[in-house]
This record gives sequence, structure tokens and C-alpha cells, in this order.
Amino acid sequence: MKKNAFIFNTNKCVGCMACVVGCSIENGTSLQVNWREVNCHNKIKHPGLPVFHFSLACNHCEEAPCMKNCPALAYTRDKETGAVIHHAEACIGCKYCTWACPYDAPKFNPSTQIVEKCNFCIDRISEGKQPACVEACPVGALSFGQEDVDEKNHLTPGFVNRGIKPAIQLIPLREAHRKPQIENTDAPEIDLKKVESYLPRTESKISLDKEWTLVLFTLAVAGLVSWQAAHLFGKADLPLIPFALISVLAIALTSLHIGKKLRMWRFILNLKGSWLSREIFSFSAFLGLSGLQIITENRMIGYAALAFGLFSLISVDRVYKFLKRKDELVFHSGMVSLTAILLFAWLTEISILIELTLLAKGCLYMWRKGALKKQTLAWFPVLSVFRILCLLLPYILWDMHISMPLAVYLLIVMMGELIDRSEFYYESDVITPKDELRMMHQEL
Amino acid sequence: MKLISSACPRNCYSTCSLKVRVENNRICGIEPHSENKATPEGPCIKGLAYVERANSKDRILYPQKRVAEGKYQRISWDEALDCIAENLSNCKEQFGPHSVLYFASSGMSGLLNGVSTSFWKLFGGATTTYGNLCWPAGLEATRLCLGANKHNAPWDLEHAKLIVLWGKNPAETNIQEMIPIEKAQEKGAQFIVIDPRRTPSAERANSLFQVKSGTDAALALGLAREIIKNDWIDHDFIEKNVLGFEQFKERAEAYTPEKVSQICRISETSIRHLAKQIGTIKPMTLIPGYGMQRYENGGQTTRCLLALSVITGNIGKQGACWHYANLQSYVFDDLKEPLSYFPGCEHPSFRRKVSVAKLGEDLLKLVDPEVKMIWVERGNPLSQNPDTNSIRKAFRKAGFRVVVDQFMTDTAYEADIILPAKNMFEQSDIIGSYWNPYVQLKQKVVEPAGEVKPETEIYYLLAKRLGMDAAEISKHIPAPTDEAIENYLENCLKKFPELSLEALKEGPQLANSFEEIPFVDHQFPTPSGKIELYSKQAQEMWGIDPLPDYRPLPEQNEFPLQLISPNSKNRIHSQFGNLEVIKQFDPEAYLFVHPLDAEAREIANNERVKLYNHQGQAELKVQFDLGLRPGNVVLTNGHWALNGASPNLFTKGTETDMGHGTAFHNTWVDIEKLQK
Repeated sequence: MKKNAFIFNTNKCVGCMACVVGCSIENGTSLQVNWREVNCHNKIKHPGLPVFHFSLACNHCEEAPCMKNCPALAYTRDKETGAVIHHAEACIGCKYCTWACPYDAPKFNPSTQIVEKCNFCIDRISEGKQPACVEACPVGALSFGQEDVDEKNHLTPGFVNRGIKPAIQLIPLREAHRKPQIENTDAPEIDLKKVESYLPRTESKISLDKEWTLVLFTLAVAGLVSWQAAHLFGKADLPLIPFALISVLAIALTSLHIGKKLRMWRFILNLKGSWLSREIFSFSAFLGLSGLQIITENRMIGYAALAFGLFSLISVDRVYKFLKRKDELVFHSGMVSLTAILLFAWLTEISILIELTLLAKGCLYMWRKGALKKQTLAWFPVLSVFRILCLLLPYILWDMHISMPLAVYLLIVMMGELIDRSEFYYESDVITPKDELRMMHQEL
Repeated sequence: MKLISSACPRNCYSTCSLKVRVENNRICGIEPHSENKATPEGPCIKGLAYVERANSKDRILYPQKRVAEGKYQRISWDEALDCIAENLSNCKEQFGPHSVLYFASSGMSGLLNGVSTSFWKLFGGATTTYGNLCWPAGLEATRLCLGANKHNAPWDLEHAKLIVLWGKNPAETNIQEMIPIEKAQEKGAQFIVIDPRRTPSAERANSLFQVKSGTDAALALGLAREIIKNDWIDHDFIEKNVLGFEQFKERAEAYTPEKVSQICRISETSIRHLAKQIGTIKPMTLIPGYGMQRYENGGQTTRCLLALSVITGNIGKQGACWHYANLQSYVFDDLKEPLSYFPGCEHPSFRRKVSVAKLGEDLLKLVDPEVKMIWVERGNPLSQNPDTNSIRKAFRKAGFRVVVDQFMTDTAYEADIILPAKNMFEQSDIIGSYWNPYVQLKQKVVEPAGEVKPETEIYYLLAKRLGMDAAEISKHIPAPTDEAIENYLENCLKKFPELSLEALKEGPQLANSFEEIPFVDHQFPTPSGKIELYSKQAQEMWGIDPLPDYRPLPEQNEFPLQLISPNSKNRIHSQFGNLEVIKQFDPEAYLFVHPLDAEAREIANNERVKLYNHQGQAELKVQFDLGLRPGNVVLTNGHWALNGASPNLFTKGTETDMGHGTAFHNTWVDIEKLQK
């Protein structure tokens, strides 16, 4: 079926950046936040690989993950043009779309504290004109039109292909240009490992130093839900003040993460599509109902709260499902659901549950470290030993019947969970066109 | 909102036609102008950067007076002009008019630049420069051989079956040329690049011959030998049109594939294969760049290359030409380049003793009179002429300096008085191009910003202040009104009824003399009327071998790395690099180095290093580039000192073997790890 699409001819683009500038002039964007970017493959010019570019902005995908995942319903699709439109007034600046989009199209603007992105130049194309980037291209490498997009070409190595039906007709590099023919009798042998070290590091979108608030928040969710569960199980008290303190702290931590704090209520508008909405909604419901339960001492409300709490745990883990992890394994030992089960097991001191959870977490942890080590990625052996110790030590002490307050056990357990969860963020990343092109060196 | 036809007057091949979007006397957009068949898709990133350039907060909008080193203060036009007039009068009275250096360069092209020359004539003359920084060795080589510098229309390139890009990188310096190259490739043409660097243009090629820099002539002679030996030459064409083929054949004989392979550092097989392609695939367009002729041996190198087009008969045919410079749109010039660069052709009132290539050295040597005052317009010699340190010395030796510019360049910082220069949108003018064949009007679309006055107005006011003859003034210097400017331009157009100002206001126009395929009639305006492979004139004028020849560059022992300073897509010489829109992609002057050369000196990627030779030194960041030959380092042309360094801090004032060009690439340096 024909639809509006960008047409990008890899054979014509020379990486001149005119499209980027044409876009920024038309849309009045600041230079730090270009909606369109030109990504270069093999900038260092390894003689065995071609140098080529992908000029990319928003691809107005049919299955746009930004729109689907936005908790605040800040995205809509224009029926006439097919453009995915971001509405500034509805955006809460949570940056979740910048994780969800594998084309790096939504850009967070630090000065406005919200996201912005390419709008297909909707006003121009509605008038029958070309998008500004297309008009600016001096060699006709980027064009625009009604196209039957050939999805086979999205499989081109170096191009991000997530099967989300991007509106881009990609014309791949001609066969003759895929392997450079260079004559030079002085050309030295190039060690690929070294080339890897010459390449500029791409800045990771998710890094521990940026996401430490999320580490604490997600651990707080696990802690509070397991606490409530243990309480309903009759194994723990649920005093209002400490529970409320931790809750407030958790909410404060999430709010640190978003640009427009006064619009926080919009977080729960997309229950239908966004796990982030579901997470925030179910966790809020959990907190509200738990508070009500403590005040009214009505256990039924407590069970309702717990139901929301369990759902929030699932939601938290689902929120991160599209991230890329270096270990590439399905389950992570730092998943909040597992943390919550572990904490519940300790609070209730059900030995079989403690043992099973320890086993599951321990195996997952070692499995992951093995995978990292195999890929010669950083796997932090000392920290790993410490983390395993935090997992096992309380169990050994408990098994030896060494009498210690539960708080000490929990503290040790939480330290381990903190490491595991921090590693989760450290190892997670967002798929970007830059990374995808960088990976191509591995083909040699 | 208005959309007005204009054209980009920079010293650039493309000379794009543009449509300028204007709102409330403000430039707010640059759009393509499809009527120019050579630039149908619009300008490059620099063309788009005009939106910032025209509105930049850094622009000089008022006359400025130096109050301390690097510090300037706004003054009135009256004060500025009084001060300049007083200095001019003093210089003239005490030392004669030749104590003033009038230095103009290629910052903005246009017929109105003739007004500047007229003013200095009226002043009684001045000292000026001869030669040119850019391309004269190749122009002269072509003139000696073919008699004129013209080539097929840019769009004819799509008919070529073989395209050889030799030392040119249009992907960065003439981006629209990539359009016909791609069209030709779509139709099955072979595309070959010969260059010491792996350039963005080379990415589009079937093969890259990464020859040692400065050895191109040897390769060309070697290829010629193979082509002749295998009888791939065009006998008929040679017989009818070529002078000196037999002597040339003898010259080429010594350049065996073995020898050439040793000199150029590419394999013998590849030389033979390339010769076969050039010898057997027709039509061939050979596109030499300007970089390759910026060596001491540049003119002779160009002659050797051109011989390949000649012996294969690839001249004056569809899809076949020697694509060096196309001066067809320069219809207004009485004396065409490169002849106009040579000393001796100037008006008798001028003293032309200073070579642009040796500006600093020559100025310092100049006596009787010494230069006491310097006037600079449309130029930035402190970053663009070789040997910055000697130029700075010469500038400081002169007592008084005036610089007319839009921005605080390295040269502006040497001025005692800075006058704000117009930009391309503030005065109409007619321009040509050395690539596309159009005559174009760059139109006035806004009133000058701040207190900016076009040079014509500055000269008009100065002439009045100096008490020049009113009749002479009105004859040579247009009054400061739009009407007077249009009259001046219309006067220039009188000889060309096909080129009306009205038509030019709508878009690019072709003069009647335009030939889509020049030399199709096999008329060559050389002394013999033939293509001269053997040129007596070459020997008489330049004291060189009458035959094309390979002259190796001098052996280097002291400084092992050869610095080449090619142009970047981000600047036209030293313009545009100061703009934010450009700086986001090109923030500072990086030195590109092959990792082998860096690691031999224990230098890591992105590390700051000292770059030095006898001419100068600077600290720069290195960037590794596996697309270089080890032994070559690259610093792109046009950086300002405040970006780190201009390559001319390291260049020596050396002229090319012919044409009074500038041998920028005859530069050797070394780098050193910085001591922490």
C-alpha cells in the first residue's frame, strides 16, 4: 500500500549535513537538538569497509513505539499524511519515548524539559511541498513521496530493523561500493581490535549515573509490595509512618526523572498501551489503597492493594522489555519481581521460597556474568563476588541459627539487590542507529 | 514574505543559484533555484548557513577603532573615514602612492569589485599583488596546451563512460557534481578516483588509486606510456590536432610501470589496468582538482595529466573533456585568468612587485617606498596566504592598517580601523562561475544591517574626502544609490544584448558565446593552433621543459610528515567556519593523522599535540584517519587561529612552477606529544 515516505538513496548521500541544517532552519530547533541526524558508517575509514551514511529523522512508523509507549498520550497520528505528531503541551518529559524509538527520533530538549521530534513537515507536505530536509538535500539523496515501502531493504546491515514499518524507502549501497578497492602498496595491516579502540564512544542513553533514581525507585517498589504482602501473610507489621515515608521518597524519586512535574498526572493516561502508565497507575493505586488499609485497618482493602502491587511489579519489569542488554539474555537476576519475591521470602522466613529464589537469582546472575565474560565485556569480578556474598551470607547465618535482627539480614540482602539492579541499568541500553552502524565493524 | 532569485558569490566551483526567503528585511531561508541546470537541487550546507551568517550577532556592523591589542571600539563613519583619508594623504605626500598596499582577494566575486581598482587608480596607484592563491598553475598548464580554459557543461558529465577524478573531491568542494557522476554510474559508467586521501568522493568510485602525494605526474606519464605501447591512442585526433606527440612519446618512454609503481606507491598491475581503462573506455571525462597543482611541480603535473585526455582523443566530444576550469561565464573580463595574474599586465599606476604566494617575505623586502599603509578587502591573508608569521610581521611593520570585513577574522584583528563589509544580500552585483556556464545576478534583498556600507560607497565617500576630481568620480565610482548600482551593471551588460538585468533578476542566464561542448570544432587558440604537448611558450615564459615532465618534490630529512591542506565541505577558504551552524559539525582545527604515525610518537587518538616546523608551531588535537597514507597529515584549509591553527602557519611562501600559483602542499612538519 502506498503511503507518504522518505526515500533515502545510500548511493547518493555524501554526508554533507545540509538536510540537518535545512530541518533546523525550517523548524527553528536549537543546534543541540537536531531532529534529523546523519549517521556515518566507518568514519575512521577502515580500508576493508565502505564509508556510507544514513540520514535519519522520524520514520513515522506504522507501529510507532513512541506513540504506543508514551504514558501521557502526547503522540497522535495525522490521518491525512500519516505523520506521527508529538504534542508539546501534553508531554511530561519522561523520555520514555526516547528509549522506545530505535531510530533515535524523539529528542529530549534540556532547555524546555520536554521531548520534540520531526513532524514530517506536516504543514509543508499538506501544501504539496517537500519536507525541508528533502528540499535542502543538494544531491537528491533524500526525497519524499507516496511509496510502496520495500521492507526487505530494511534488512540492510547497519540499518535498524525492528519490524515496526518505518516510512522510509531505503535504497541500499550498490554492490560495487560495498567493498572498497584501494590501491596503495604502503597500506599497513590494521588490527581490528585497535580500530575498535579508535572509534569514538557513543554516549549511552541509559547509564547508571543518570538512572540512579530509577534504581532506588524500583527497589522501593519491590520493598513496599513485599512488605505489604508479608503483612497480609501475617508476618510483618505495617506501620503508617515508615511506610508513608518510603512511599513519598519513591514518588519523589520518579518525579526527579521527569521534565514537567506539574503534568505528572498525565503519567496514567495510556493504560491501554503503555506499561509505564500501568506501572505508575498500579503503584499509585497500591500506595493509596495501602494507606487506606492502614488507616481503616480493613484487610480487604489490603488484598486489593496487594493485587495492584503485584501488577506494578510486573509492569516495572515490562517497562524495560525493549531495551538492549549486553548479555542478551531474557531474564535478569535484578528484575524487580524477583527482588520482591526474595524480600517477601525473607520477611516471611519461608525456607523453601528463600532457597528457590536464591537458586534462581544466583543462577541467573552467574549465567549473565558468564555471558558478559564470553563477550569480553566488563563483568566486575570483585563486585560480583560481593553480590553473591550478599545473596548467600544471610542464608548461611540464618541456617546456622545465628540470632540477629531481621533488619541486618534485610540490609545485607538489599545491598546485593542494589548491586544487581545497578548492573541492570549499567548493562541496559537503547537501540540507536549509531550503535547499529558501529556494530558493522564486527562483520570483518 | 518574498522569494528573490540570487546566486552565491563565493570562490567555489558550484556558484549555486538560490532563492532567498525574506521577511521584514530579514533573511529567513535559502531555497533551491531549479533553473540552474548545474545546481538544480540547491546549495550545500554553507548556502544554508547564510541564514545565520546574515543575522549573526558576531557580525561587524559599525566602524571600529583599535584601542588595545585585540580590543576595538565603535566609532562613527566620519571619524573612520577622516582618519583613513588623513593616512592616505600623508602616505601619498610623504612616500608616494605606492607606499599603500591594496590587498583584495576572492572573498566575494562581482563586477563591482572593479570599482575598488578604479578608486586606487584615481588615488594615483598603489602597490598590489600578482599571482593567485588558488589555481593558476593548472590554468596556465591548460592554457599552454589547449589555448583556453573551458570545458563541457557540468551536466554533460552524465554522458561519460569513464570518469576519472584526479585530486578533486567534489563531494565536499563541488557537491552538485556528484549528481551527474551518479547519473553516469546509473548508466553503467566506470568511476575512478586518484588521490592521496580516501575522500568522501572516493567512496562512490569503483576504485581508488591512493598515490603518494606529489607524484601524480609520474603516474600520468606511466599511464601514457602504457596507452601508447598498447596502441590505445586516437591516431586520427593526434594527427590532426596535436603538436609534439612524438617528443611526448619519447618523454613517457622512461616511465615504465615498474618505475612508476616505485614512485607512486601503487602496484604495477593496477597501473596497467588503469591504463587500459583510460585507453579503451570512451568517452572519458578527466577531472583534475586544484589541490594537485598546489605543489611546486603543479603546472607540469597538470600538463602530464592533460596529455592523457589529448592522446586518447577525449577532447571536444559529448561526455569527453578536460574538466579543469570553465571560464565561459567570465564574459566581462578583458583579460582572462591566468593572464590577468601575471605582473606586467597591470595599469601603469600600479606597482605589482608582491607575490601573493610570498606576501610576507616580499612585503618585508619591499623598498622605495616601503609599505606604510595596508588596505585589505574581501580577504583574510593572515590565515590564507602562506607563512602567517612573516605576514604578521610585515603587517605590523606597516604603520596603519584598514580591514573591511563582516567578521573578526585573524586579519581583522591586525587592523587599526575595521570597516563593516556588506554581505551578499545587501548590494546587487553580477557574477560568473568557473564551473557552471551561467552569468548570474546576486540581488540586493535587504537593506544593509547596522551602519554597513558597501565598498563602492566607502570608496565614493573616501574619494570625496580626498578631493578627487568630481567628474572622474562620477565616471568610475557609482553613487551610493541602488539606481546608480543598477546603471553601473547595465553599463557592463551593454555589449551583451542577450543578458538583460531584467532577465538576470529572474534567474541564471547564458551568454551567446556559451558552448555546451567547447573545442568541438577542434579550434585551439594556441600559437600553433593545435593542442601543444610541446610548448615553446612554456619554456619561454616559465623556463621549464617544453614537454610535460615529472619533477620530484624535494627530499625531506628534517620534517618527516607532509602536511596537505585540502578544502572542507564546511568552509569556503576561511569563510563560514565561525558560524555556530558549522561549528556543531566542525568545532576546531583537528590534525588528521594515520594511527601508525601517531603511535610511533606515542600519541593517542584525540590527544593534543604540538605541530611544528621552521615556519611555526601550534597545539592541536589529532584525529586518527585510516584513509590517509602514513606520512601524510591533514589540516583542512581555512581554520582561524582561534580554532587552533590555520595550515598557513606552517606553509612556506613558494610559487608553483608556472602561473604564479602557491605551492601550499610543499609543506613538511612533525608532531610531538605534549609534555604533561
